[in-house]
Amino acid sequence: MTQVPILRADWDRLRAAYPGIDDHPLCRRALERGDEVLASDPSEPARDGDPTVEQVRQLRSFVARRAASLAVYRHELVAHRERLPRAEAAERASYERHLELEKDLVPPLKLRAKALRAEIRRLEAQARHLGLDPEAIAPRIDWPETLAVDGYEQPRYETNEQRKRTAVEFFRRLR
Amino acid sequence: VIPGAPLLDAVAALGDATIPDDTVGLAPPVGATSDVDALRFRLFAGMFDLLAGKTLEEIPDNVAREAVLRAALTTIGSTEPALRYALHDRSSRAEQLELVVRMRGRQIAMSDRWLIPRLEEEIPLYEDRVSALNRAIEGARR
Repeated sequence: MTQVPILRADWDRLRAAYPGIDDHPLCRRALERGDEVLASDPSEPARDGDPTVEQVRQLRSFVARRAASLAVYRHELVAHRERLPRAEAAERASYERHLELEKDLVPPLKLRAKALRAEIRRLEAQARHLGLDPEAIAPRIDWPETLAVDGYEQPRYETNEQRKRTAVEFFRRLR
Repeated sequence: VIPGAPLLDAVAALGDATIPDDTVGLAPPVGATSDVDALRFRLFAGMFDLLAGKTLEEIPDNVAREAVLRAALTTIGSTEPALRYALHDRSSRAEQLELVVRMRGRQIAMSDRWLIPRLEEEIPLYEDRVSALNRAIEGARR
């Protein structure tokens, strides 16, 4: 069954104005009145001398509609209050993990693989020079199936202090 | 205009986004739409209409009633821009961060589940190959 979540503070305000009516009948009454409000003319009634009963009724519906829009904004803001801090925490955590991977975990492995690949090629050339067939020496490497890290260069990460010093140095040279 | 009037108090309180976020779940009548957002808007419209009804029943003439309703409108008009901006600002910042987290999450998963295991698998193969080549070269030299 559909449930409509409403901020308790909003609902309590209505209940305080209508004590003695249970939630269910009060909710039904509010929805019926809401239907009437939404069926009314949505434009703001103009001021025109002493208002008639009908003009007051129209203005009342207009106020209820505008207040309802505002209440929806407030509901969204309050009910999803944790979304932004949660997103900020998740972004920070993902940044730290990404940095850890790209700075501390992946580069040493790639550099090690790159060095070993170069060493294999050097040794294979040396073996050929000695009259050996490197292809006959096991284990062989199926090069197309491996990660080509031969052109890999370790990324350089600078602290904010380092970046500031570089910028100051750059402008000093310009003078 | 009327201190303590339910409508004016309720409208003045709409600008306060620091209220507790606990909710009550209201069950609409059987047969009502299942669109929760539409129901919530209807419910709010009815709630404020009922609060207005409670406020206006204490007021004897239409001029004073109109004045109360206009006062409520003034409060709504002054509160709305700030609330809309706050909602837009927080939602768009959250959306942007969530997008960054999703994109970065893919890169992290790629490194964690594919790149690092792959390198860790290949490095011992390379080391074995280096050892084997060294042994063969040593043998050829002797």
